[in-house]
Amino acid sequence: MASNENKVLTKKDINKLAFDSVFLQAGFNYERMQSCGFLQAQLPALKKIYKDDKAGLSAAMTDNLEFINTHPNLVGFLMGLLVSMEESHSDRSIIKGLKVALFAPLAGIGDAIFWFTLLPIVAGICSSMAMEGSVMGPIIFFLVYLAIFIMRWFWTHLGYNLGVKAVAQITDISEVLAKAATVLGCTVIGGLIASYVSINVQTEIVVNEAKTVALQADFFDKIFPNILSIGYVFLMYYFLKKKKVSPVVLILATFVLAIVLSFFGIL
Amino acid sequence: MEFNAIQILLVGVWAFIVGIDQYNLLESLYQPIVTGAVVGAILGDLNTGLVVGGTYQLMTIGNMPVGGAQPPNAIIGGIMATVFAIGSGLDTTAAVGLAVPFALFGQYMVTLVFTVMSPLMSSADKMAEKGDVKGIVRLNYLAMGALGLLFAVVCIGGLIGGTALGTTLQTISDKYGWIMDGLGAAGGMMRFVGFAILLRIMLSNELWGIYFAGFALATIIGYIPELSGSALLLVAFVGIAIALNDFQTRVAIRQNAGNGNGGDEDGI
Repeated sequence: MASNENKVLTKKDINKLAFDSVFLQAGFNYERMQSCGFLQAQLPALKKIYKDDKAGLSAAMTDNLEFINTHPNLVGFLMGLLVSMEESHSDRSIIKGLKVALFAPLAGIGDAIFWFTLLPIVAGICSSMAMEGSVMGPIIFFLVYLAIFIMRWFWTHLGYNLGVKAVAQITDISEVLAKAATVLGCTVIGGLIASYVSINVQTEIVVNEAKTVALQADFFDKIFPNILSIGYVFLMYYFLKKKKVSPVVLILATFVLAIVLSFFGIL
Repeated sequence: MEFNAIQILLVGVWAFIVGIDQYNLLESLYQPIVTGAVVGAILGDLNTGLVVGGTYQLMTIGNMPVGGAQPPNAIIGGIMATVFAIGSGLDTTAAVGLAVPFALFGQYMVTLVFTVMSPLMSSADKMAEKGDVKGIVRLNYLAMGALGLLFAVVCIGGLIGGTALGTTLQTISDKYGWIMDGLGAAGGMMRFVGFAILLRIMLSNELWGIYFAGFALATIIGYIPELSGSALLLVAFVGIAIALNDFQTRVAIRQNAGNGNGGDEDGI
């Protein structure tokens, strides 16, 4: 587990990583969200790091294919950081723990900056210009987003350099750090489950003319909100871990269940 | 106003590009303000394109695809509103209204691609296992190409079929809307399988408590409207506190073990 001797990535590789971060959402899907694109962007760097080490490459690819949903404009920071850890062959659970711990907060910051602040202001100003027939409206809008796009290079190098600096200090205590990173990761996953669109049961039971019991509001939410979300994750975890059911079976079962329940108006 | 074949083709190509750009590339070309101007220029009436694009853009503020939510697709909506405003000489409001069924279909296309891609993740897992770099890249390009193509088809259909197609699409979506609602609900639930896969490796027995604590905290914060946007960031702060504590305890234990003096910090 040496650190800086095995530095194989050049400035050019990090530049490429920044560019490839545009593919973050290429293979977007409901199950893992951005994982496929997140992996693709890192692949050239991973290939260079692992060369003939098939097992190492495969382990890195498998980890990076797990659920991730972060902010496209800021993701370079996370990719740069993780790639620097891969390069120094840090413990896999540190890399994974850090990834899981960081992606969601990064998404929160990114959404706040880009969607909720910048877009309304820029779009608001540029739209009024366009509505008066000025071509400058769309052009200014485009240029602002081009600047945001170019910032990807800055974020990626920032993440990478930060990682390289930190890695030199952590190799000694990596086992302990891996544990701490996993603790942080698990806290955030717990939070993620509560923050995503939850399962919302529409069914209402009519007791009499005066009284209707809405299952969601009057029953599930009364026990605690998001109980169905965490319950369903727990069920899936049980099948995956204890019953060794393959993910694709669970995906298809979930899909059929949701469609059927939706057909009967339950979901 | 009739459009010629080259114009139809160019709008189709543009729809293909922005269909991809909405999630990848520059992530700005697809916004109605840009798309309205470009489609306007293609159809020979830049001014109308600018006005419709600007109007549509203002409408989309506050109706954004954040956190995996899918509002009616503003990309196809923006393109078709511009097409109707120029083609039929309608005022902006009427053109936007007629574009709604197309926007709805754009949203369906997105839902469809995201749904179909979910089970394909297990083939991606197999590629990862084999270290098949090219396979992953191919899968991504396939998904991007499919989305772009579907968008191009809907827009070209709209240019040729016009408002009549819009009426047909509206009828279809009224009749079969429940399928799409079902796909949406399925999408929300499929995410939980993704979470379970994440947990499978990470969650060792001693971490269950912390996992539920994170859940509880995010649920509480989520119920305060002013804070719901920053819920995960705040949860991460608490997570960092616990992780730091865990880290320092373990380092201390290790150092004591190294000294072999059985922990003099305890004062025993």
